[in-house]
Amino acid sequence: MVHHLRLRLVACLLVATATAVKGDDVARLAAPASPSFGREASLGDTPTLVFAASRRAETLAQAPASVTVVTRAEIDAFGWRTIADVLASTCGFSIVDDRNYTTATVRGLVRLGDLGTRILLMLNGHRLNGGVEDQAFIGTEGAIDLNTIERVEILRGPGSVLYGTNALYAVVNLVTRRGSSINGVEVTAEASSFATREGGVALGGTSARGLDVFLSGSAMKSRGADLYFPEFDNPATNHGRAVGVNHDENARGYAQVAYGDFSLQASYSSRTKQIPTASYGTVFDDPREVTRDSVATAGASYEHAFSDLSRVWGSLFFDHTRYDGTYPYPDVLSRETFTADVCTLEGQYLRYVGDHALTAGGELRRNARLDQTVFNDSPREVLLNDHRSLWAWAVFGEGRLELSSRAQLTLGLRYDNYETFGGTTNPRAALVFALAPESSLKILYGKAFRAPNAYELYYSDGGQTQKASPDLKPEALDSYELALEQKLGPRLRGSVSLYRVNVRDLITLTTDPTDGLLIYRNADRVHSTGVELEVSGRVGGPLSARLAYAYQDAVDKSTGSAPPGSPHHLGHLGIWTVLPGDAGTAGLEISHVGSRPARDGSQVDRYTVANVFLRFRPWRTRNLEVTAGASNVLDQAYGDPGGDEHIQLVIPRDGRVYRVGLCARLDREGKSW
Amino acid sequence: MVRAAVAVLLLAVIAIPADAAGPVPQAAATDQPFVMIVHPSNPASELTRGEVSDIFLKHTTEWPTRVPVHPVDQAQASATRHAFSRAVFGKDVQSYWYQQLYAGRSVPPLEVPDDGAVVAAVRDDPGAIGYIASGPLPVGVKAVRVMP
Repeated sequence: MVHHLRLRLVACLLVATATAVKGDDVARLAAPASPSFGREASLGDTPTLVFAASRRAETLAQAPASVTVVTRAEIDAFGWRTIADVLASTCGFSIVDDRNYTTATVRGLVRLGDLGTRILLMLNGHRLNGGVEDQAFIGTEGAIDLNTIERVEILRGPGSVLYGTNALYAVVNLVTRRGSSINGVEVTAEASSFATREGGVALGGTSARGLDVFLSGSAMKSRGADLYFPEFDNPATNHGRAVGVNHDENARGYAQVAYGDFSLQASYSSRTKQIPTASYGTVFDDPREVTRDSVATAGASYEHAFSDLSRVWGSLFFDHTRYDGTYPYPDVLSRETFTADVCTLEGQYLRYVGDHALTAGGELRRNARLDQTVFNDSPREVLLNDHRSLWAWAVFGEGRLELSSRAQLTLGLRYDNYETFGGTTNPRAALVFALAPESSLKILYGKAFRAPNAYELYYSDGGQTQKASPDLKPEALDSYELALEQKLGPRLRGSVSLYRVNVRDLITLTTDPTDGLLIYRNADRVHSTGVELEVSGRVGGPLSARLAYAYQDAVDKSTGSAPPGSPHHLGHLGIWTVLPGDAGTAGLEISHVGSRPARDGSQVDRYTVANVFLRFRPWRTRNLEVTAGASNVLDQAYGDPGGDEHIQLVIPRDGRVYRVGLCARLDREGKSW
Repeated sequence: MVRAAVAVLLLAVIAIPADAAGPVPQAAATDQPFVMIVHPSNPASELTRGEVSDIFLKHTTEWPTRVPVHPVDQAQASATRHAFSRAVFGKDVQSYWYQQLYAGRSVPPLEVPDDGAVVAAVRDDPGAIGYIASGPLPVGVKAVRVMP
């Protein structure tokens, strides 16, 4: 029933936006996006562009950061369904799935169970990290359906100089499709193993007057795999078998309208997940252990370019997040509800002085509502009822100085102020030498921070196990990097990167010896040194590939060894080709994750898994595609390290998963329809 | 101290005049290394530098006669284009087009390889405007003065 209500909400969101468009515009939604006189420059030679590295579009070689851009073509060719699937294919990232939330590790830096708070996730430049815990959702709980995304920009390294908190280890910017790229309607449906059903619709186009509209909605429901956990293998706990307690379902909607200098976007997502691991010491194999997460976002932005090439940009967004967790214990049903409402105003001005580009901007954020409620049902007992509201603001400036025709120096500085801990200043410096067209050598330095979130500051369960820690400081990071970007062919690029990252004041759950209660402290220091290699693009003819390898040596200074969940070796090979006669695409990817320490110091086995995906057009028309694929085709038994909230040291991933689907497109010109 | 540094940086961005790195070359008709050309039927005889900028950034889409404007650019490596960009925009304009392309707002003007191709494009199109290296004016096009 609740799920149906959410689906209706998604539908209402789509309909409401659609009705905001005038009727004659809707009739012309599928009009061609390009200007009419048809005498434009050839865009075939335009290099890959990235926005997130400098808050403006530039080439990968110019960007003062190590960047990977994943395109819609790759997403389609490999059949990726979540942001985690995308990140797992790129250099330096590995994924941890604890059967509740999915998180990413970057450059060996990982805190199991951190909900991705040390990676900044953005949608068209607007932060998606939110809620009481500033979490970034990248699995099926992700706020955005991957079918909504045109490209994913992945910046390894700090980004606080432009984006403030959470941009500690990496910045991931999701760039949505535009109505003009759909130019009609797409309907998708898919079925896969474990009784998983998924469907979606995307609608878009551009009116003759330049109004671009894009709407999408999707829903997924899965029974999930039954799992075996040896830690619970006794008669009282169903011999370790978690049966029918791995249900997962979501519903998501997105709407975007752009006209001239203005754009509006809104999204809604809801995900409900049963937890099969009996986390936090709950009753094993109990279907009542469930988390529900919902995110709603709405905002407007304005961007204008002047004749002197200066540019002004501003945005106003409202974000609402809610988390409900239900945790069954032998004598009581414990429940948590976290709610956050955030309003964010941002602005930026770019101008040129000679060849030098200067940018200034600011951000004002009002966390109007940060509520945490913890209570027990039957018998009813309120353990925490905490309500907060916070202000945060920031100003930043950055200069891109053209030292010569081949050397570019970027200097940036950002000051953030929080009501909680005060201020923090984060600079960056980048020297980029152009070696050849689309090739460069980069020397990068950056500092970043993560503000303590409301959960870490104020969560308490009434003195039973954990108490609040309102005096936390922000985590801080320094990053040093040498990177080489090399164009290897017309559409093929390679990169090599050497880096050293030092993180201090990591917020860690510790035990207060005075009362034995858990409390968050700025306790840990970690450093990571590594090398990354990546080659991606069109190899030749119809064949494209992405090859990535990373060696990373992260050390937790308190233990002198790698943090739990941190692998030394990561490798990925993805190959895809356009089938003869443009009859579709076929993709194969092989991923390797080296052994990782479990939290008791033992090793979680390394694994190598292969996935295949076929997209076939039976009548050589784009209007109908049949898809089929299998992940973990060799049915490898593997898993991810469990965090402190789990008894399990290793939480198994799925074995072989089959999937089949259909994608139907109705283009405006759709002669075949 | 930190706040003061940031404040100085922000003020610098806003307060520094755009020509602080040196005066932007003025596209005076006498010393410019390029000539703006239009179709002979175009009544325009002179344009300001700002008007040329608006045309080539596609902010202006029509001539006063309501004829659509079709700017014609030269290849990026062209010396004439370099001189034109310096004179009109004060810098290379590529980064502007990267942003426009990225945002899906517009695409750069038609780009042709050399002077001859510019002349051919302008001669055939009443709404076209382009630039070629200074020298004898080819047949079939009309020169337009660019005023500061």
